[in-house]
Amino acid sequence: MGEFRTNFRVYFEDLSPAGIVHLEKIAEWISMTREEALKAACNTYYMSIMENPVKMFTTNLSINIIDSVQWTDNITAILSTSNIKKISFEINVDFNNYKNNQNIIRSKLKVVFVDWNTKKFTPVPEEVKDVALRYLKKR
Amino acid sequence: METEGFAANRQKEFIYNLVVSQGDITPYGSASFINYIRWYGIARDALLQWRNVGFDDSLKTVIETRVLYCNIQYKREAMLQDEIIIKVNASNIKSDSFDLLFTLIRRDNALLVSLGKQSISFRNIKTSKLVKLPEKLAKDTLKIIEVDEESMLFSY
Repeated sequence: MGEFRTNFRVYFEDLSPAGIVHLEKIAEWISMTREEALKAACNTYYMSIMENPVKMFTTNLSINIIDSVQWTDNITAILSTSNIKKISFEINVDFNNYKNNQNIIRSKLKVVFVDWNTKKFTPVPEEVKDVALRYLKKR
Repeated sequence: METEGFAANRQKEFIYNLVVSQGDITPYGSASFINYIRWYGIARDALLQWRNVGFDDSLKTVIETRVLYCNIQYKREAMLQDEIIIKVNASNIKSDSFDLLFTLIRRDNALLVSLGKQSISFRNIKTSKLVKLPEKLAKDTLKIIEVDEESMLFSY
């Protein structure tokens, strides 16, 4: 199955003195990667996300920081999915340093879908499920 | 009556208060998970303020707090201007690392907003080596709010 890839550059404000990317920045990269993947592969749902009563929520997020980076390094985010269920699935985003292809960060989000009108869990929309299946990877 | 076992009034925690502000919210009107991570970071650093918790003077400018693992659980939305209480406990205290457990609740109705966990160590940025926890930090800061994670009401 495929993966979705996108790139980021490490800016000065993203780093600690030891070259560790700030957690808040990692979370932002994860969110941006998810949006880019949805936009690229599921544009109909992505563009209707404001009006669509079925909303996607992140219920769990784990981040493992493995290695440091340097200012101006280019980072590749690699998105895959796992554990696809009726109302939820997991999104895995790994970050590799482009210059040596070393994995620097691993992360996992669990997303669920909620009908905004009833405030109840609702099945993953079919078009989103198709995308999740496209990026499905056993971990 | 005196009890030998667990008693709620023996449980201590560090508390940090904040208000959900305009910059925290998304078009849904609630704060995104990115802000939960930021809030945990603010509460963590308010607790540690590590320059005053026993590190040797020579190390103060070269020590960095490292969060090697971070987890958040989203339980309920936090809306603009909600007052949030962040309770922080410590667990798994070792010679060079410890975990912090975060419980976010809404002040007005005590509803649970989020749970979080961070595994923390200190590293010398010149040598990249782990630095042992100062005794003062462990004794005066972490032990006071230490809990047995397995016996907690929530699973972090």
